[in-house]
Formats: sequence, structure tokens, C-alpha cells
Amino acid sequence: MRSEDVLSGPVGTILFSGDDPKGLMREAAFQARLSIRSQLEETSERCLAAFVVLGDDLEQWQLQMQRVRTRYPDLPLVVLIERKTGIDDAALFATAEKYRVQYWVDPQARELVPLFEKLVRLHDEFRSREKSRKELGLRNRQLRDLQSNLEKIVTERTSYLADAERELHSRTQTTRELVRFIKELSQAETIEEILQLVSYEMRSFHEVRPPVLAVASQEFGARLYFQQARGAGGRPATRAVEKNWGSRIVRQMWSSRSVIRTNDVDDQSYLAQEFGRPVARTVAFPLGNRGHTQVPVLIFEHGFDGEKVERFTRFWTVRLEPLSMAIERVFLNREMFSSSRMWETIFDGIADPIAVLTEGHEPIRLNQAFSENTGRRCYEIFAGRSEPCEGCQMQKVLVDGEAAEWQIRRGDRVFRVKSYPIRLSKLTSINHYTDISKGLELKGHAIQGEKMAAIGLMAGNIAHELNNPLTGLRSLAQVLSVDSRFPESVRNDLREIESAAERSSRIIRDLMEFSSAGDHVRALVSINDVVESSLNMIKTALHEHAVNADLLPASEGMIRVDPHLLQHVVFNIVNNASQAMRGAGEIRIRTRLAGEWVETEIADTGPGIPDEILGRIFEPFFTTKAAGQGTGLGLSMSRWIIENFGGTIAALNQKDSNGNKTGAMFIIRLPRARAE
Amino acid sequence: MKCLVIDDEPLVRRSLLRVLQVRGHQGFEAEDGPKGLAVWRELQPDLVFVDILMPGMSGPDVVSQVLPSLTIRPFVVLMSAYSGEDSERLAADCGANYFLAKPFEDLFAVVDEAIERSGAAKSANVKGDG
Repeated sequence: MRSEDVLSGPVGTILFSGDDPKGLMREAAFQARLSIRSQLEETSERCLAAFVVLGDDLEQWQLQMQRVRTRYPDLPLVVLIERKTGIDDAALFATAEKYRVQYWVDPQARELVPLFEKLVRLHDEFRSREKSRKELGLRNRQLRDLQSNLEKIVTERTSYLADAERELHSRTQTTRELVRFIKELSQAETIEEILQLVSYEMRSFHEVRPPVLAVASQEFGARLYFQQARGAGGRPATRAVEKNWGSRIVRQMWSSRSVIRTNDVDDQSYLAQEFGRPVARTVAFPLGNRGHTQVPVLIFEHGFDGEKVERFTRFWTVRLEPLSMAIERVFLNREMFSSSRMWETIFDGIADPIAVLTEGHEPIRLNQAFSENTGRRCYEIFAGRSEPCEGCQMQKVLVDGEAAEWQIRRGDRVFRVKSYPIRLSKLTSINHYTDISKGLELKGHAIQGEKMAAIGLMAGNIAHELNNPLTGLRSLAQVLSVDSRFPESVRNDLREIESAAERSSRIIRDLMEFSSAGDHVRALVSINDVVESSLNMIKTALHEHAVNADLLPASEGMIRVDPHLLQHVVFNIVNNASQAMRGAGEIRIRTRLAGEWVETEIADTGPGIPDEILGRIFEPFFTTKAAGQGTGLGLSMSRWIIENFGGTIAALNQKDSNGNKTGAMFIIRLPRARAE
Repeated sequence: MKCLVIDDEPLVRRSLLRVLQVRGHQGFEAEDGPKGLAVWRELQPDLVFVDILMPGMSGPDVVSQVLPSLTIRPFVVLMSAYSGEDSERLAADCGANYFLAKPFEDLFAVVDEAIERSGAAKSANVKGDG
């Protein structure tokens, strides 16, 4: 027995019932450090066993046993039996089969002590086992809890991951949709297309009307775009309404407020006024203007409640910037197009031909006066040539990088080309063509005029000097040729001399008329009077050719001329025509009004004028007639006279449908005069 | 009829004299103004042809100088290679009766017309005198 055990008091209690001979039970209990209770009563103390000492009364004994059992169903029960009792063992054991029965022949305390100690040991073991069991149970509970916790964590984590995956998926989807929207926006070229995209984009939202886009700039004024009811083909038609920049509602719409406006009273009254009906809820997104004057505002009319409005606003907030950029791009394109159109109009509006050309004479840009850009080279388009124009200095301009100027021909026109090198994407020159034919012609005319004046002066001077001896020569030859004293052969010679002298006189007369052409007095006359009076003279002169006249009414076609000189011109041309026509032929004279001009056409049915001399027939002393038949002054004088009257004279060939010449035509144009 | 031709162009003088001769008239000639003036005064011709433009002294000068000193007024024909209004007025101013433009188309016709006109003028004068 350990000292500490003694000190620590009883380790348990035993119940005792029956007769304790000589206090053996108490002694043994003491030795085994047990407390003992003599009644089988309930106690809170730790009971190790119940002992019943069996007396002779079996009935009493059974009663006791049942009481113990009832009160301590799990408590070990030991039945001590004295040998001396006459109880039938078989009956005893049958009654108490569940109990430990120990014969107590000669009751000694020492017999009980080991029993008690064994009880304590057993109890300790039991307690120990019980403790272990309890600990095990605790552990098991802890393990279960742990497992449960772990399961919970795993479930939570799994759920979280699933949520995250769902969110990620949702975000990816949102991003993908946004990317698609931006991509589609980038391909939109008109506001109408953008509005259609916006309409499509908000297809998942119901209870919202098609968008209204308000755009304004100081320059272009204000415009309101909105989609109307679906038109033909189910596509919503977009309508644009022009607004006066100064109107009140427009100023409200484009105020400086750049925040998203929900149920803004101004927006609502604006739309209500525009559509002529009450407007309930609105949300307006100003799209920002990046420093330009365009200020787009996107307005939706909807029937959402609070939460949906937020979702709708969030939905559009991320789309505002690309939308703003797309709208700005459309307007920039429009401005660019408008600006480009302006330059094109200016370029095409220049009356002189202008061409921007590459080194290889290929056109980059041509204005309308030059030609349409047919993709061919400049000389092919402009001058109808297969190689660069004569005198072209474009290569030099491009190599030297300095402007140059030259002249080229295009048919019968002469152009001055001013060429300037410019650097576009490649080496380029800009060529400016000026038609200088008129100037050259005028210059030619001036030279011609000076020549004519000099000829006139000279003619006047020499005419008199020649006239005198010629008069004598002709007259004397005439006189002698009729003198019968001379043989016939001599008189024939004299007649030849007279004829030669006569021709010489005619030349001198022409020269003298020519020299005095500018000094005549002009009068207001009708072209018809002049032509008709010429006709009398013409008809006498022409024997074999018919003359047909198609004249204006007598009162029309007034001109201010010297009628004698004009008659001279008409006669001269008709005479030429008559000489050109061999055999039968017709001369047609026609007068008519052509704007500010009075035209006289004189046409014949002769062989026409050879092309190679067409340009020279008005030159002085140019003639195709045989020597003595013409002075070469007739047409030059005619032109001199007509130009002195402020008119023009031109010669051309008439042609049939096959291009064959059917006669010559002279056209005299004189300024139409008004009676003062 | 006595006729005088004053012209610096010998061919003109000769041709006129020939025609006058053919027509049966007496013809005289002078090659310039001063000589013409002298012959005119001496011969007192009935018909005088005077060229306007001559070196030294012009036709109208000769006519205007000679006419006042004459007792018998002849028929004076002024001739010029410059035709036109001025020449005709010049002829009228100096007292000439008629103007002939050179060159002559038909010398016989020209001379015949001049003779005829001078005859008519003379008879008119005679009638006037009587």
C-alpha cells in the first residue's frame, strides 16, 4: 500500500448488505482503502461493488438482490454465502445466476481484502479503459468535426472556384461582346449605321425605346438623329432633323454638363417637344468631345426600375468611349470629305487645264479643263500624241527642281505650260496650261496690221508714180493699135502692150484702194442693203454661175460700215468663188443674226480650198492665180477692211458625210449695231 | 480746134496728141508748168489738158495763174492719178471745167467727151455773150 494512497482518502465505496460477522467487511474495506455503506442505498460516491452476505432467509436474500439490481444495474454484485446455511445450492444458483457467488466458510477479513483490491484494480482498469474510451470518443468526435470542417471548407472552396469561373466566364463574355461592338463600330461609316449597332447592342434590355443621338457643332449647326418605326424590309429608318443652333433646347442639350443624366427635366422636355408626346424616364450619356466642336449626346427613353437603370447605365458606360470615337470618326470623315470636295471643286473650277504628273507623264490628278483621267499619259490625253510634246521640259523641271515654262501645240491651238516641281509621295510636277492662241493670233494680227499699213503707205506713194507713165503707155498703145497705117501684126503687138498696161493699172488701183481702206466713212446700214446692191453688180459679172441669196428681213442686221468697201469685199469673195468653179456651179449667200454678230456666209460648189493653204489665204500677196490673174491683195484687203469694221472673216471647206470637200465657205462676222 | 496738153509724162502727151490729131484737131504740148503757161498765153487754145501733179509748178497753179489774163476762156480738163473727192474739188477751185482720173480706160472716149463738153461750153458761152 502506498503512502500517498492512504493520504488521498478512499478510492471507492462498496455497498454492503447482510450480516457482517465480526466487522470483517469494514476491516477489509479499511485495508483496501474503501469506504463502506451498510445499506444498499443510492449514493453519488463511486461504488465499486455491492456485497450481500446471505443469511438463511432466501426470500430476504432475493429481495435484497433485486433491490441492488434495480438500483445499480451495472454494479458487480458479490453474494457471500456461509457454508453453514442450508440453502439449496442449485436453487441458489438458479436464482442468482448472474451474480458472483462466493462461499464464505470461515469468514476472515483477509479473504475479502484481495477481493476488494481486485475490485479496485478492476475498477481502475475499467476507469482507465473508460477514460481511454472517452478520449477515443473525443478524438473520434474531433476527427469527425475535423472531417466535417474539411468537407465544409472543400465545399466552400469548390463553390468559390465555381463562382470565380462563372464570373470569369461572364467577364470574358462581356469583354468579347465589347470587343465585337468596338469592331463593328470601327466599320460603321454613317451615323445611321452606328445607331443600328446601338439598337442591336441593347437587344437584351426590354422596355427601352430606340436611341436618340443629338450632335451639334458651331460650324454645322445641330442635328438630331433617331430611328423611326421600322420601314420597308424591317430595318429601322434613321431620320436626321436639323436644328437651329441658337434654339433654347439645343443650348440645354449641349450645356457644359458632362455627367450621365438620369431623368433630367431638360432632356425630357426636349424629347417631349421633339416627339410631341409625354416622355417618362430618360438616361442621357454625353459622349465627350475631345476638344472638337462636335458634342454628341446619346439619350434613351426607358421604363426601367432602379436596379435595371443601374445595370443599363453600367452596360453603356464601358461602351461610351468607343461610341464617342466612332461618331467623331464619322464626322471627321464627313469634314474631310467636305474639305476634299471643296478642293476638288476649286481645282475643277479653274478654267485653265492643270495636271499633276509623275516623272513618267502619268497623271495623278487632272482638273476638268484638262480632261478626265483615263489613266493614259498626259500627251496622249491632252495632245493626242504617242510621245511627249515637242519642247516638253518636264524631265528638266524634275531633275533641276526648278519651275520652267514652254509652249506646246494641241491641234491649231498653242498652249503655254508653266511647270512647278512638287514633292508628293513621288517626284511630281504640277503643270498649268494657258491657251495663248488668241494672244498669238492678236500679236500676229498686230504685225500683219503694221505690215499692211506699211504696204498701204508705200502703195499710195508708188501708185501715182506708176500711174502716170502707165496711163501714157496704155493710151498710146491704144491709139497706135487702131492706126491703120501700121500693119496688122504690129497693131496686135500694140494691143498686147495695152492689155499689159491695163492689168498694171488694175494692180495700182487695188493698191490705192488698199492704202485708203482705213480712211472711209462709216454709216449705219442694213447688211441686206449692202448684199443686195452687191448682187446686182455680181450678177452682171457672173455669166455661168447661179447666185442664190437667203437674206434677213430688211430691217434686221444693222451694221456700222462703209457700204462701198463692204460691197467690195463681198464682190471680191464672190468673184474668187466664181473663178474657182470650173463649169456650172452655184454661189449661195446667206445673212443671219448670231448673238451680237451679223453673219454673212458666202459658199460655192467649187473644189474647196486646199488644206495646206487654208491658213495663208488672207496673207498679203498670197495668190494661187496665174500671173496677171490676181494681185494677191484681194483677200488680205478684205480682211483688213472687215477687221477695221471690228469684225472677223474666216474661210473653211464644206464637207459631205464622207469627208469630201463640197466647196469653200467664207464667213464674215460684223458687230451688230443699234440705231442711236 | 487748138488743143494744149501740159503733162510731165511724155507718153501721156503723145497719146493725147495722137488722138486729137486723129479726131482732126490741132494739138500742142508742154512738159511742165512754166512752159505750159507760156504756150497757153501764146497760142490761146480752146481745150487744155493739165496734169495736177508736176514737178516745179502744179496744174491748178498754172490754171489759176493763166485764166485771169486770157481773153478767150478755154475748156480746161484737169487730170490726176489720184482720183477722188479732193482732186475734183481742187479742179473746181482753180477754175477748171472737168476732172479726168488716170489711168484712162478708153482714151478715144475720154478725148471725145472732153471735146464734146468743150463744144457745149463754148456754145453756151457764145449764147451768153450774144
